[in-house]
Amino acid sequence: MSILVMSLCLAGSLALLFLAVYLLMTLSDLDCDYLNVREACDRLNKWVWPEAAVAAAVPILLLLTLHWVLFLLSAPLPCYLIYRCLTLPKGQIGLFDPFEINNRNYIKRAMYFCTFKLVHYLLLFFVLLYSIIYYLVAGE
Amino acid sequence: MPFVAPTPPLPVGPMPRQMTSPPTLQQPQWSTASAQHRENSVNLLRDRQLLRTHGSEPIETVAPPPLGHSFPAEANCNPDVMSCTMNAVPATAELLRRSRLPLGLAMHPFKDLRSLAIIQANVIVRCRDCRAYINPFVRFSSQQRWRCSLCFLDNDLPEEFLYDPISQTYGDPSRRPEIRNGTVEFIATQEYSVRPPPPATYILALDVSQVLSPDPAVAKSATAYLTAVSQTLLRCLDRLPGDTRTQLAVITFNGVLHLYKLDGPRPSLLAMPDLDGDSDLPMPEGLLVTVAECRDAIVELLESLPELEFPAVPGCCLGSALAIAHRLAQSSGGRLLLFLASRPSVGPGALSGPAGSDSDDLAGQPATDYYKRLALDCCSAQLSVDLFCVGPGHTDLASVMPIAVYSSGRVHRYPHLPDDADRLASDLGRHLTRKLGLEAVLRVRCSNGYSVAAFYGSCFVRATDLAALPCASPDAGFAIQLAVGDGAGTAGASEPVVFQAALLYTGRKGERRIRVHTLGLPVATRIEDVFAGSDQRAIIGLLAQIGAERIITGASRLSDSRDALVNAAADPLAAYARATGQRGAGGLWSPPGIRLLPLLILALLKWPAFRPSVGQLDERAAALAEVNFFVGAAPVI
Repeated sequence: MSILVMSLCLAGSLALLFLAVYLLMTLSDLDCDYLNVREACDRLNKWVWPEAAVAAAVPILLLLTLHWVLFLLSAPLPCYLIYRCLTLPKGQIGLFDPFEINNRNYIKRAMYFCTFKLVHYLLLFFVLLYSIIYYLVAGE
Repeated sequence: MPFVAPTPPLPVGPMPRQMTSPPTLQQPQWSTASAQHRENSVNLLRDRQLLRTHGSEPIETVAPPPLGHSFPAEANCNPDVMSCTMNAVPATAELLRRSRLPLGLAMHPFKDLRSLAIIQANVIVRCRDCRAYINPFVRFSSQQRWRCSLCFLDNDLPEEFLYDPISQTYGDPSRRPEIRNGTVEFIATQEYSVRPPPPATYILALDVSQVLSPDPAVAKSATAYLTAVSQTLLRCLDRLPGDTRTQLAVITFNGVLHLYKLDGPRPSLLAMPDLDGDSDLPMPEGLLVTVAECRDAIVELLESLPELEFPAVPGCCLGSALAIAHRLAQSSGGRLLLFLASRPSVGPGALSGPAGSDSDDLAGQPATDYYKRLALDCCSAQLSVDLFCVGPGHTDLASVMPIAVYSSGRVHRYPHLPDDADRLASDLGRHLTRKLGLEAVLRVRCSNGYSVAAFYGSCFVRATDLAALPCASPDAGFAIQLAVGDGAGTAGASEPVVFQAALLYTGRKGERRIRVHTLGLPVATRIEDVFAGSDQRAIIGLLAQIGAERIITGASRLSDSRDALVNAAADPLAAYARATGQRGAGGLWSPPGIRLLPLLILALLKWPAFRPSVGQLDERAAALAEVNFFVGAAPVI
């Protein structure tokens, strides 16, 4: 049972990992002017809520199966993602606003955050992988 | 104690410029010993007469210093057109941080100028790496090569550059008007146009929802504004900038949209039943017509506009009107003059919910992003929207304002209408007859080591140093915040730091032009020089636009903005006391360049845009838009 749940979480963190890579590539294309602002912001805004939803599902599943350590490891980031989505000013077009994105180093800061998410999901992926292997070995 | 005016810079006579002279930078006036510097300081606690009592302006314009014999006398552009917050630019980021002053440019790139050098050349000479235009600060290493003043790369000089058209002489490239003037305008060659120049298009969208109001005062003000608009347009119809293809369309709206077919001998009204913005136009032609061909119908419509019988449907369908206007202007771009009398209540973009209270910290922020998305569509179609708020009541200007603020338009407000009708007529006349800069882009380039951190003003920032303006206005001002990076000052103290702003636009006759402004400033390596060169006019312009933009976008609350403005006045004074060792000297010492900064910040905090509570929400919104639009150019006390 817990192996099944952890495999789901593993799949989720793999998906989030690929998503983080995709977002990072979009941001760096925008930075180097390969993409125009409107298209880049559409792409980035499309994935904000799905990412928060999947990232929140992982710690919830782990909590339900009572894996405390893994829950504590994976909980802080989704909390921050959801907080960011909920406290957007109403006049802004999504989290990545085409009018604001080129001001005040917004792109650089978004790229740093994306890199941090990438490292976080990678760590989570490997920790889950080793937990699954441990449960498989210990279960025998 | 009499006020000590700062000493004016030494005049530099015109001297022949030698190509091989070593670079010499005349030391700026303020690179003096600390003791003399302390003499120039002003004690803010004791000196009360800080404003000038003679001269035409209470605050003097600080011109940047002359940079020495190697540069012509008019090398810098007019300080009213572009000026930097510091006339001696810090060489390192650490120095900038220690001074606690903002580094930026306050510019007014499309300003009406009395004299302008216009150059028509086959080849516009630009640096091959950084793409900067040739300017008075370049150095000629030989007859065929020039060194860029921004990236220090050697470039080739074309043959025709050696010929000076004004004095008809050959051989000295430094006599060309591009080298002698800080502001030049080039007639652009073919590769600067994306598409053939479109006709100048004017669309008028008038809100007539208050005309049939039961309250007689409100109905009277609505009729007054229609009269003012139609009379002004009749007066200016022949003076609209543009060539023979100039187009005009008129839309009126209350609860439904009314379109006017103008291509027959008489105008006819068509009411659009459907408020959905995606529906087709009732007819493909006849709505947007050429002024020269259909003048009679247009004149007849404008003369009958104040007495016209509109279908009595209550409400205001602003979103549909904007969608139709966008559809009409999609292929040509142009200008939309939008008159709003009441809160949008039906159709897409309707605003519902109670109006917020004015003392709320979030006042001034939009309640929906519908109009900001529309502004994005307008920018793509090169349509600029100017918003005139003519309603006596609450029109939720804060939510509708983004359509103008982000498409390089201007926001006006006339709350007391039959009395304000003259002001409306004169502002509208200025809007209609001012010079036109369609499909404009503004790019700012800086020397190595300096970069643009943020762009403030009524524009669409497409890249960090590039702003797109669907229609550039001569009254618009922009503030650019600069950052100092690692490569700054590596060229040595003898090379000036050069900032160049280039505005590419389509003029009234359909020709593509590039207006280039160049500013060269000395580098400061000591903190005393940084303070001595500070310019309070540019600083207050930059701070005001930053503050307004933070509130409009919702990035900070009103109280936080106010605190930040107060800190912006207090921090430099503390840094100055630390830097010159005057702590505890029994007074509040300030360098002469920013002696008025606390007074100006205080005045700014009393402006309706930043006041803690203003009578009406709309007033705050209009004041914020005004600060965002043009305060970068000159502060208003």
